[in-house]
Amino acid sequence: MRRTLLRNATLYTRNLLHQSAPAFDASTRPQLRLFCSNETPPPVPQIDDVDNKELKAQIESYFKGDEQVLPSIMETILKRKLSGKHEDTDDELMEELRMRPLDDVDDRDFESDFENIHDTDEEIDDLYNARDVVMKRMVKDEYFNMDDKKWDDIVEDGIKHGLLRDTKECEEILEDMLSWDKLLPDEIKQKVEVKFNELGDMCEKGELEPEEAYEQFKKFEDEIVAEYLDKMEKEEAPQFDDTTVPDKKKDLDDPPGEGPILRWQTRVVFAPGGDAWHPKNRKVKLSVTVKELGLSKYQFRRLRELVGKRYHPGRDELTITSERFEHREENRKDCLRTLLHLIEEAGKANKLVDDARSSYVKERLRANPAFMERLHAKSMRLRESNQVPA
Amino acid sequence: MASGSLKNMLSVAMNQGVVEARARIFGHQLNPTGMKTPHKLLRMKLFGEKVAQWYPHDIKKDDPLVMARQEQERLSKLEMLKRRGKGPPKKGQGRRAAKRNK
Repeated sequence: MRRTLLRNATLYTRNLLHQSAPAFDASTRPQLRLFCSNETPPPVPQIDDVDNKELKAQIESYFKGDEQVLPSIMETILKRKLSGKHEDTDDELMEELRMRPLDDVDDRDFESDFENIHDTDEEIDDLYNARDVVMKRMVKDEYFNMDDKKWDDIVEDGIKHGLLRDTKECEEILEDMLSWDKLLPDEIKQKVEVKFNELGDMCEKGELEPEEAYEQFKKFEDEIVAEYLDKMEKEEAPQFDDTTVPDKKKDLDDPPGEGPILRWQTRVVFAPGGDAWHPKNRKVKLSVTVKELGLSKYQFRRLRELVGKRYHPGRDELTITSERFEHREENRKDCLRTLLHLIEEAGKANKLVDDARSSYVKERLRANPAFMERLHAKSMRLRESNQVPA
Repeated sequence: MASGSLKNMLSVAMNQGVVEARARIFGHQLNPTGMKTPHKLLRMKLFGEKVAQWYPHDIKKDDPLVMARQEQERLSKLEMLKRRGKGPPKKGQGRRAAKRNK
């Protein structure tokens, strides 16, 4: 601090010298004129000179802690500068002072300024009671000591009361905040660009002053902003109701496609060396929930007969294993082919059951004598009707 | 009676051809008569190469000079044995042939 003051003092003295030089010249000229009119020789003003010993003594006393000596030191430096007899000595002294660090520095000035600029947190008197202090602050301020759980609770509450109807919309808002410069619609951007280019061209041609062009552009921007605000106000504001509304998230995590879910189990052995083939990698296991296949009762029973122990009734799960080929992908194809063949074969049950039922009914009817008699009579009558035109 | 009969008929019809279909889908070999078939052998993977690589490759077999020298040593040793009356016996006069005659 004192060292910087000393350096600034020397700088200030230099500036004072530069500024006061013309004044000094102006003050000396009228004196010369006065003396010339009187025709008496002018007395040269004597400037008191300070020797090195006196200056060194003052500096030493300042370093020892006497702060009152600083103004006299500055006066001494100014006098030496004005006399101009100690240029080299002063340069050496400045070099010496720059090399010597100062140990004793008062921090009160810094502290006072710092406290005025930055308001730190309140000081807690009783640190043994920190828990109570934190609890009080949490009671006062809802957002004090925010963590993920509280944030999740706030979001859940917002969703429950309908303030956050669509989390997808919230994500879009956050993305808009992240890239806010792309919020404006393209029409407004094009308008602003056209206006800007027009004004730029006019400035280049010299028809318009830059300041005037800037004023016009500013007015145009204000008009655009007002127009946009009106457009926003025309759109209806969203109505918030206090009833519980379910989450309407549109895009779900379900993968696209139809049909049952195929669960594959494979093994990957990481062996040293470039070749990734390993006999353990060959086996492939495919699991399917039979309910998802959409089979009827008879088809389901036929499927159970076909697969035998591969079907797990507790989990309603059909498991097909294949390690017939050397590579895993070939075995996956084999599993899928087997599954499709099983579904196709089970699908035949409906036709077989229908045929069996119809044949049973036919047998029962053929065994009934009354039905056979009526059928015979009807056929005879049909034959007679056919023979009449002949 | 009728419903029982119908249910039995339906179940029989439903399971018609299941054995053949299962064999076709899963690649099984049907053997209703229980006769001996070579399917077990044919089903096995080719393992001749794996058996052949049991012993490592001997690099001496690639050098004809080394093989010629070994053959020469063998012939010399055989000649020395024959001179001392310790060579291989003639056909029909060995231990196994004598045992067979008994």
